Amino acid sequence: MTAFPKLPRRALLAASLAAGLTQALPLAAFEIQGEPKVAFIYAATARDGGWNEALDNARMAVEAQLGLEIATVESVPEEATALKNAVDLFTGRGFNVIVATGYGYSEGVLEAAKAHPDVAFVNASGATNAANLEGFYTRTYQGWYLAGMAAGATSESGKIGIIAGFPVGVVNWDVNAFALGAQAVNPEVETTVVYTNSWWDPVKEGEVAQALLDQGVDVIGNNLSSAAPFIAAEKAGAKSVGFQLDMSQHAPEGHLTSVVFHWDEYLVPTLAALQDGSWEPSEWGAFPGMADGTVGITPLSDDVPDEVKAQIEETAEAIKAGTFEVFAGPVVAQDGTVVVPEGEVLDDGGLWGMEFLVEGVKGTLN
Amino acid sequence: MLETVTLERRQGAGAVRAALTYAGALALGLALSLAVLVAAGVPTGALFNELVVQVFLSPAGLARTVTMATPMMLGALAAALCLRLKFWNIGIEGQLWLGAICATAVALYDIGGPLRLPLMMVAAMAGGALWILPSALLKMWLGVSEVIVTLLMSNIAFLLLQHLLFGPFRDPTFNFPTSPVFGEAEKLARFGWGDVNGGLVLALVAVALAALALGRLRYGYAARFVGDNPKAALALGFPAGRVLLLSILAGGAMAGLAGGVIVAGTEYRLTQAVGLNMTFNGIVIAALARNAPGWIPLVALFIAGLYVAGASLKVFYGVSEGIVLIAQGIILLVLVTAQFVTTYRVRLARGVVA
Repeated sequence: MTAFPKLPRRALLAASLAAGLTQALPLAAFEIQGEPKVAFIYAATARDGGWNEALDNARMAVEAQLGLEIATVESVPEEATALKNAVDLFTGRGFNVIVATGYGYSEGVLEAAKAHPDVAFVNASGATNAANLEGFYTRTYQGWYLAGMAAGATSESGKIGIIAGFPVGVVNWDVNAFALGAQAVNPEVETTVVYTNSWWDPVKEGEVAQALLDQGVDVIGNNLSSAAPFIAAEKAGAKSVGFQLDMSQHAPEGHLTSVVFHWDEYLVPTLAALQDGSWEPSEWGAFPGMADGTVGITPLSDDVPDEVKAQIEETAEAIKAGTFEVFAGPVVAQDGTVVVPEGEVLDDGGLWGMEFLVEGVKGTLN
Repeated sequence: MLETVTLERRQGAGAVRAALTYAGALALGLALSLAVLVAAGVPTGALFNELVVQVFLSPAGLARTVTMATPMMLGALAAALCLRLKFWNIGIEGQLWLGAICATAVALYDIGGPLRLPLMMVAAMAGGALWILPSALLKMWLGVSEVIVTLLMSNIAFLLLQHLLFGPFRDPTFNFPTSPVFGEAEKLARFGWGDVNGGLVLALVAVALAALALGRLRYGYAARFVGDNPKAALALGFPAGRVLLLSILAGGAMAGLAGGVIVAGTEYRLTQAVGLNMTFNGIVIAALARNAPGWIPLVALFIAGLYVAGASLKVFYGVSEGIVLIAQGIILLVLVTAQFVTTYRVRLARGVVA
């Protein structure tokens, strides 16, 4: 499969966390014993209409394309012991490929990988890696930047909002990219972010959406999975941006676009490699992006003006070609400090450790 | 013609009869639960393997069950010690979280040098006792219902837990709301059998001490008396207040210790999921053990077995984990009903009621 760029900070993480296991291990193919027996572990229900469903769609693609039958388990808490117990149950009955699906599994999956050195692990949005474990994610901020452009161009009040889960790097970059994209077409736009500190809380998400609307926000980006924010926005006649899957069904009128995953682009080649014994987990984790097709946006709504549509398409092409970077300097944080100076690009370590919000964003990291 | 229904306490319901009723009810409860499982789509042929072999007979499965039962024993003690005095502790989770928080604080702030681990356990007990103290005092001084106070104290404890996990305790490595992993000196020893750890010894010692105190010591007699009739106990010169407070604080301390045992024995870090459902589990186990500490380990093992089986039913048959709660509920209901019938006689009195 494609050699993905390396992550310096994750190297440190991997080194410090997996010390003793991955030490001085050269990059090598990892082979499982016998035919792959694959299990997916989800933190919520698989058909959650968002994050897990995007992965579950990829699971079905893998089944169809590689002829594998995959076991699944749902609602395993993002807790080391809970995950390890689920893994133990699977490995105890001969499963040798575990696909975990959550950032919160990062530590647990590393411990499980150490305990089962003959089993292959991959973890979606996971921050840990080992000789038999590869975390994978995709550059979602690229899609959110494009969605931000659409939001900035269609907001009449000049206020847009984004509802997000936990204030961690992989989420903060979406928030910041959304704001930067909007600012690219409307420099005065104000972006309000609210973190719900949960990945799945439809009631809270709906309430937050309503609070944002009450404050005059007229475009809502939903970085989470539930339909509640779309329904609230639709009722108020506001626009909305979805994430993970095409969310247009929840907001037929106001849906601008959705930033969507295409995990099959990663999982099919990865599991095929496991099947034929050529899997080489990257010790830095897999980190593809729009160029590899693992993330993209759905067709833009007609509410987006034609010239902005053209601008968005142009930017998308530039991102894929590598000639445009979302976090190219100068990037200025909320408090005015320059985080990325002119002429530099935030590296992957900086992305994963992103603990700032950019200028023009209203809200705090908690 | 009206009928009146009266309940009469059976005189001298024999021990044999009580034991038989208990066993019969347990069997009936289990049978009903199995029927629910089969209805939910678990093949009949797999039941024995999933519920008995994988849970109690295979070494790895039994290790999982024992590990899970360890904090449950302490949670059940937290319920039983209080219930003996008719004090309904509905806030076991809150006390458990405080215990987990205190133990974690000792670990994270490197307190206690070579005595780190014992200090963590003491801190856990102190945290749990501290958290139940307001409910005890409010009950004793103002007659405020402990059901409300202990329950609401749990909500406060959870917010405190979240505050710490999103703030000072947050692991900077992942920025996810869990504490950093404990060091080796802060972990309870494992015995090389699954995740079974030193917490089991602590739990069994606690159970033994509670059984001894309640069964052999003057305190146990006083506790039963105070629980049954506090006014009479006071009138007869029993230190009712002291006995009540001591029992409640001991209950809180056991819940706190459960939190300490979870973070230092299995999780090795503080998370938001520590000890979930412990209030319900603790009360169910205490009720099934009829608040007798000596029976708690066995019942805890049984309930833990249900959870472990539930986990594999979920993994391999897609049965929701809720099924475990349903099974627990069914067994408890049947047992409570049976207990009622053995204790009371229902009598229909026909006659004219003025």
